[in-house]
Amino acid sequence: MFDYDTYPDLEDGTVAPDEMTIAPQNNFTSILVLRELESHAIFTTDGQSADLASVAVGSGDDRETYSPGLMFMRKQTGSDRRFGKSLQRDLLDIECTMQVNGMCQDCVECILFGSAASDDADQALSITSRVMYDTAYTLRDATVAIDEKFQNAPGDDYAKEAEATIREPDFFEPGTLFPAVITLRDATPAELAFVLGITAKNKRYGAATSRLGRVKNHILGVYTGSEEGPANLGLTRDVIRRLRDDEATTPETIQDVITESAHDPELVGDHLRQAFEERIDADRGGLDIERVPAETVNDLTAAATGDDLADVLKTQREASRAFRDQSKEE
Amino acid sequence: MQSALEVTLRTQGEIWFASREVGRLADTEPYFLNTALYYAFGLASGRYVDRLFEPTYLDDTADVADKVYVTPATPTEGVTNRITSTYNTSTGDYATINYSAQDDPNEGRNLPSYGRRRVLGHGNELRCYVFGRGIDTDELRAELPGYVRLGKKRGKARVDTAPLAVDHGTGEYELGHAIGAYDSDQTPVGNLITKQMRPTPLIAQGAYDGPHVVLSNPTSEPEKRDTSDSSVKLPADVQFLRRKR
Repeated sequence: MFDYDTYPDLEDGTVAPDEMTIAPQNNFTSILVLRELESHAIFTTDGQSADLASVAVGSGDDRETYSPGLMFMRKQTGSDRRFGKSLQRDLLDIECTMQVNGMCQDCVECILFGSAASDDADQALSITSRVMYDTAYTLRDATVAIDEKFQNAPGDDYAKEAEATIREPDFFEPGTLFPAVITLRDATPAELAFVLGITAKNKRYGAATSRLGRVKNHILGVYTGSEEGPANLGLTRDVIRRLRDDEATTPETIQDVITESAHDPELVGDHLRQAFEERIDADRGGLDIERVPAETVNDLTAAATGDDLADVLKTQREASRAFRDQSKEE
Repeated sequence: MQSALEVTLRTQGEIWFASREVGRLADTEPYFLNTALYYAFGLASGRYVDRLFEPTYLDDTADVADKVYVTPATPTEGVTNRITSTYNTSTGDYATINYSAQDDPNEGRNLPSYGRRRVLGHGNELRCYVFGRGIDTDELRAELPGYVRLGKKRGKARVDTAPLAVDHGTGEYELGHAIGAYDSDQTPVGNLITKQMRPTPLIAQGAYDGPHVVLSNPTSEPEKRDTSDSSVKLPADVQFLRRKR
């Protein structure tokens, strides 16, 4: 469906479906995303407090250490995998779930995102993930990006017993932005389209996703090459510095940027894209990474978010199985 | 022709692997063994699909072992940024049964659904040395990527390299950087500190007697080079899993 005659830009950084090899090669695709919270969200690992880090940003006189809130890599992988599985159930009737040890190891999602073990004793198989996520950091300090909210679950009886129904979990505020990169290694164009589709369509992350955690993923660009691109941490630092230096914005110091009441997602998106591209040029004297033209990305995303996805997945499934079964011949 | 690089790995997010598992707690030691670094640097290639469940270090590094030696990475500073967190896997099903411990059908099977782990956070700095035989410094530098993925969930780390000068020496010397326990035929003569790690133990410190290489800052004049204690000395025969080959 996606061949290199139509999309020559993808030849570097992806592999053809019939050339998938079980020994890793250096074909990398980076999807640059800005995740924007459109509602409150809960990202915790203990059920109560948000995960925080301590990050130094800026240099010289204007240097700060701030505490960004974190969107752990697993919060992103978990949600995207569940969404990918449900897409497959809709489109291809594949009954594969996120049950630990219960993965089918036979669908596009399992073979792309990996699966360490299955219930099937006859098929001892471990598949390494070819999609890599990175913990994402808020641009603003936790003091402004996170709010504790008092919750009480009183029930509606007139007479009640005294019960411990009160808790105060940390909520990330709507409008919070997370610069993020998703990296694919040795993926086919169809697998890239699948991940783009998931990224474009998945809108729920974190805990209590049936009520909270609405996220808008702005896909800012796709980059291909023979190596990994910059990491979220460095990009987030760069965006903060760039927002400070931007003449069009009011913040003048790092402190102003990290305590700002809100940032414009579009402006942040522009800065993030430029920060990514600047780092490609600057890191180690230039990383071997090229931007994929927007038309190609739009085509892939359109295929993955439209009716064509079933066909894309069907074709890819054959290639994925052949890829997996290569290991039998060893 | 011999060449060497000082390689600094700066973690960009959490990196974890289980150095030790105590019940539901998994702990990550701040060391990257060279068994992992060969793959991370792209010097050796593993397999996406595994049916053997056996390590294949020797086969995977057969082509590169004579050419390049990578030491394990150890923290540059004593203090490292570690994060302890709880994990909880969720299946995505609308309804799940929460069995009591008495009638859990998966009792006795290792199906980790929740637990705690102590991981390496961002901002940790670890150092390793890459030593090349028959390969010049620029070539060696070009072999290494700008970013690598490490650990069970593939955490990201930035790679910075600095060239080093290589000199030769013989006689008694102190090991300048940790090596794998099977990486040299030379036997330590004293002052030995080892660290038990899987899959290979580390020799963190040791006095040796024999031919060695001295890796030092290349900016100084050859005769003025700091070949004293602050330079890094490695056994001359050092090679990845040498004793296992």
